[in-house]
Amino acid sequence: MKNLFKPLIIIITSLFLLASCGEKKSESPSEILAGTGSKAWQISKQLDSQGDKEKVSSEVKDETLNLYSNGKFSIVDASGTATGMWSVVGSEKLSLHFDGENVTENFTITELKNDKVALTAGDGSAMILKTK
Amino acid sequence: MGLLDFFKKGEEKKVEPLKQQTAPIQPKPSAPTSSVPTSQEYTIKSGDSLSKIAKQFYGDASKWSVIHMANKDIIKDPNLIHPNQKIKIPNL
Repeated sequence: MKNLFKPLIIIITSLFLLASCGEKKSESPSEILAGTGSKAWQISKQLDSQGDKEKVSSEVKDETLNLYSNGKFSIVDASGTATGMWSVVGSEKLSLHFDGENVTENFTITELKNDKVALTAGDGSAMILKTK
Repeated sequence: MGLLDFFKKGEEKKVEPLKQQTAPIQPKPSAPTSSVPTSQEYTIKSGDSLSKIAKQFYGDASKWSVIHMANKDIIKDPNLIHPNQKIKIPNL
């Protein structure tokens, strides 16, 4: 009986270790959007409310949305910088609260990857952002 | 349509104190938010670079592009800045 016990323990331990290695920690939408510190997003493609592709000028392509993991954001364009706080509501809505505004702007997240996010606005227009 | 135009036409909801999912609530300054400037001015000194200035203001040299974007009218080439140039340092 003692002879069987040792190999059995080894097999069980090995199976446990194998199962642990296969486990991958899934990231929350907030972690995907801001990473551990911050992520800079730029426009890759935009669609109007009819679903038609809109031309993105090179100036607009330079604009950056910075999402910080501390809940702050900044939008930098040629005219300056707008700042505020952001959050993900219910894993499918991105909510932005611009400084000085008394409303939040909410967008449906239709696709979310580490380097790509697709958002739809209230009027049906959409924007695809990619990491810088 | 730029980023700002797009992000101003979301589904609007009146603000009840916004719940932050990722971060602890930051202490608010005593002055009203509207009076807080969104950027400050900095005069470039000899030996400065955008990354050095970003490190000084943001603690992160890689944020130099934020300063560059805010000063594109003055700084055409981010590798070429001159002493005594006055630039805007946006608040993050």
